Amino acid sequence: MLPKLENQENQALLNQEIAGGYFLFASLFYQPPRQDFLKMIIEAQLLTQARNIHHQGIEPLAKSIEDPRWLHQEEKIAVEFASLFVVPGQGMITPYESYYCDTLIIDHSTACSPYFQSQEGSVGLKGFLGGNSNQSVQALYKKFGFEINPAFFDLPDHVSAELEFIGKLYESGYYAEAENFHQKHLGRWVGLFLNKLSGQAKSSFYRAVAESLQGFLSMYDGRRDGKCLD
Amino acid sequence: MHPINRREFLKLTGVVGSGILGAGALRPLKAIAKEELGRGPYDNGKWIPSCCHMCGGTTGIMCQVVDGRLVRIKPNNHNPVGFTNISDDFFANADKEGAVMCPKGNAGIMALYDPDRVRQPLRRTNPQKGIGIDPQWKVISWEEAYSEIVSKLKNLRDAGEAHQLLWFSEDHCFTHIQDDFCKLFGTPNYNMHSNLCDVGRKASFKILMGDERPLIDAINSKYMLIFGWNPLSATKWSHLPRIITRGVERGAKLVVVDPHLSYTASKAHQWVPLRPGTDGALALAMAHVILRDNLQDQAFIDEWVTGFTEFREYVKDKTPQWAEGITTVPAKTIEQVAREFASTKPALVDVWSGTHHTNGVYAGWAIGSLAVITGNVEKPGTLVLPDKKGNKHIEVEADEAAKVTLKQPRFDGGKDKYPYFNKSGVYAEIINRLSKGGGPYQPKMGMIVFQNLLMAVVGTKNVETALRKFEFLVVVDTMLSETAEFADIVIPGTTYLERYDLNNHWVTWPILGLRQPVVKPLFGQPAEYEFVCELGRRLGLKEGNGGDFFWTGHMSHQRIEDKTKWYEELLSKELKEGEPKITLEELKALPGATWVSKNGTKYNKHTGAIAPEKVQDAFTEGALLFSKKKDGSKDKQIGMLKADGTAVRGFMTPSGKLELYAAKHTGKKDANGKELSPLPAYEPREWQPDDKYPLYLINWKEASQTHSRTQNNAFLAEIKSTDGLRMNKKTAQRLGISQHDEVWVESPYGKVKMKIELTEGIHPEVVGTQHGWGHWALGRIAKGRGAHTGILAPTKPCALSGQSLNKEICVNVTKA
Ligand code: SF4
Repeated sequence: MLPKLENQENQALLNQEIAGGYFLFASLFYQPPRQDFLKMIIEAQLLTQARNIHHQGIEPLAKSIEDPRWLHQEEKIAVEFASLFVVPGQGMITPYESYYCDTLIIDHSTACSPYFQSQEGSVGLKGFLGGNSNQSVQALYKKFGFEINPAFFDLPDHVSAELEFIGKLYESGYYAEAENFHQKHLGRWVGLFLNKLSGQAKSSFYRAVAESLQGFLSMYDGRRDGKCLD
Repeated sequence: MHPINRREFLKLTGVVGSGILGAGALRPLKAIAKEELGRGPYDNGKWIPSCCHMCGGTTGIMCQVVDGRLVRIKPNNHNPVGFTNISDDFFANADKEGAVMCPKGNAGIMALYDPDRVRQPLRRTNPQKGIGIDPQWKVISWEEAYSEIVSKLKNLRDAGEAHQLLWFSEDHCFTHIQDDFCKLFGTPNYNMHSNLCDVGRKASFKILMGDERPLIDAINSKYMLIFGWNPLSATKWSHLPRIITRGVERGAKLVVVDPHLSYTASKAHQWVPLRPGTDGALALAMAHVILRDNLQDQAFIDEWVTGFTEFREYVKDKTPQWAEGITTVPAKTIEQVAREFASTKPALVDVWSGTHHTNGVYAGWAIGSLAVITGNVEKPGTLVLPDKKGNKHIEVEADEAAKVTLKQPRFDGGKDKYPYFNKSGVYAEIINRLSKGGGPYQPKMGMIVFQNLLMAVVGTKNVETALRKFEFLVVVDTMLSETAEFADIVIPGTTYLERYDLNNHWVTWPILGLRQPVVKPLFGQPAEYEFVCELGRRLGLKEGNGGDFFWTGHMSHQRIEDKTKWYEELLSKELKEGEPKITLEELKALPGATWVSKNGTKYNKHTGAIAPEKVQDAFTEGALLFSKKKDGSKDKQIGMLKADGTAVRGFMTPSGKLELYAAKHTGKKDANGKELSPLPAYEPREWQPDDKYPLYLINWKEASQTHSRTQNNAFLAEIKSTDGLRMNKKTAQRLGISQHDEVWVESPYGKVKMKIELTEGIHPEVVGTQHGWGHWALGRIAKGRGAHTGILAPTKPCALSGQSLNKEICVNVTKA
């Protein structure tokens, strides 16, 4: 359940805070944290500060992200970021909705030649990029006045873009829409993605990021069941 | 540390969200200019014509794009490539029958949407390089990537060492601009795929016919004799199976000479297995039978062939019995095939990668000679020289600084070392010189575009050492290949579905198909030509006349910021000045975005008369006619004067005729210092089996994969996900090996583990496998399937053509 407060002003503030939480996590998946960002997280204890929106006691995890030792490990974190989210290989955890949730329908009738008459039915395949999810999230971004920033150099259904979009919805007061987007998109796959991440991350930094985000998203409990709900 | 209050928290995270770390993934929609929203060929539910590049076949395709997503690829009936290679068949039947693609063409969608694509520029943080060493990649911005690459290039050029840049590129895609870049930058070392493919064949036919790539007119043929080639499955252009099976439907006999019962051999009327590398001996023995029995086309020979007497003399003792001892093909089979071939008209004979042996060029020449002595050249149903006219590569002139370094010798020795050097370079020589430190200088920087040298050039350990020698290596690729793991910077490339190219290969008359972006580059990355253009701009490269090649629109002559628009103008210029004489926009508007010359296939082009005014203007040397350069000196060969004084096109050889005897070989030496033979002489290939390594190892291609490039494609993995080692049942019995046993395949260079697949369809002295498996990188699907046999061979070029010799390997096989 989303946290609910009696006072409307407080509720609005809380929702802003939720937006802030989304931005924070979006940033962590957007690119490896630079020194200035790490410093800000650590000095301002940003994750701990978000405790009002945290559930299931994730403070210890937040604390481990806020550990000052990370300040000196920018390069190490950057290498791990690349190996987890960018470099193709066994260690990569693909950060796209399409990869988990979409099915590519293979149409048999691909040739017009009489030698290759089309066959009935079709088969599907999972595990690819640029699926329907891409188009649907993009349409929603557009509906609410956003588009993919060309400097992002990535796909619309990337975890960072979806997190940032929910943040934007909260920020603008579209709470129901934000929850709806979570249900229809991010929430369908992010659990699976984060489970893999906490299992595979070598450093405690990204493990903690995964588990903190899991805790953060537990406000949608019941929908985060670790697998795509397609 | 002081805990902050909620408002401060909001402020900070707000800063995060609005992009302290970069721009963020989203931006307000209003930031896009209105006209941009509806721009581009990406409207909903469109069929966009283009050309495939899952292999070098350039087959015409139609791509259905819905909401900016590619959902389906089907053949393009307007493009002859994918239907036929002769025009009358295309004009009469294309609409009725429709074109075809091979399975790889259908699987192109998964190349585009492959989850293992390289998406961001990467820089290694681990300076150690080697197989199995983690480069410890770090994502860098495009700006960082450009500045670092440009600064390295600039240092090289400023130091007068531009020639120390080696550039490697794939074929049939944006080669002109890479070639131009190298020239303007000042390196003579531009290399391209063809050296790994058919340069040996090119040399054979260049000697014999003066043309590097004759094509088979299979539909009209009555007899097809194919050596060392699997055209029904290892399709290099997807109409190959159709034209061959169409020929068979119309009554042609298909005979396949190959140590392996390939897919083509399995559909043939007759399979002739032979020892690898003995094709030349077999062809000479067939020539012996044909001439002994007087089955040659004497009238054709008298008019169009030179060196017949010497050739006849040479094959006199090349009897079927002699060849049987070498090839293991029974003498009576040689007699039978030779007689059938010579007495069936029209007949064709061809060879492709069967020439990847040390004696391959002469073997290809001997094979081609069979066509020549039987008059099966340039007639319907025979070997036809394509009338290849398409876009024109506009020559660029280097500036003074570049001219200095362009005068440096090519690193691979070039035409000074290899008598049949092809401008695609000599990969094996480059690798050897890099790894062992030879050559005129040591290159410092490498740029590898869409090539995987570690899997494509044999002698893997040697290639590894060579790649380590670059002080700075850039790899541009869609996938993180084995070679990319040696890069200092990896640049994400585009698939053929995200970029432009012009294609005019594989048919016998002039056509040109457009490859165009059917979707935007998935990760917002520039197409390779835009990447090259950006490098050129940042380096400030100029033409000899001071022109800004990479800034100035080649049609508008205005400065153009947008690199795609700039490239579109360059393509328009190539089209306008080439045969089609249309702009890129006009080409896009043609049915299937394909320009097809109405002139059609012309046979017997060698008999075509040369216009009197051209003869008048020509530079004459003996019986040969050449066009003239501006200064009146000799330029390109255009024809010949016959004994009766008539001027005809002839063949582009030193005699103007088909050459069974190459007089120009006299006194010339190959790269090993050996005298060239003036005749297509048979010599055993260098590496022969012995007691220690008693089996020949060969490799081949099949329709399911292209080279070592497509093994991560999820669709193709469904068709075939690995390959074992094919071994003859009798051989296995002798060695105590059973079906599906794991075996060690060992050569002096290394060993690999493979699974046995028993068959009767392979020569008992030979084991073999499909090329391209055994990846240790590339992607999650490809990795760890099958074995890479490239580690079992030395890196070796053919001493005549420079062709990389990928099939000359001997091994021992033991149970693992
Ligand atoms: S042969 Fe197949 S992979 Fe090659 S271009 Fe044609 S359709 Fe594409």
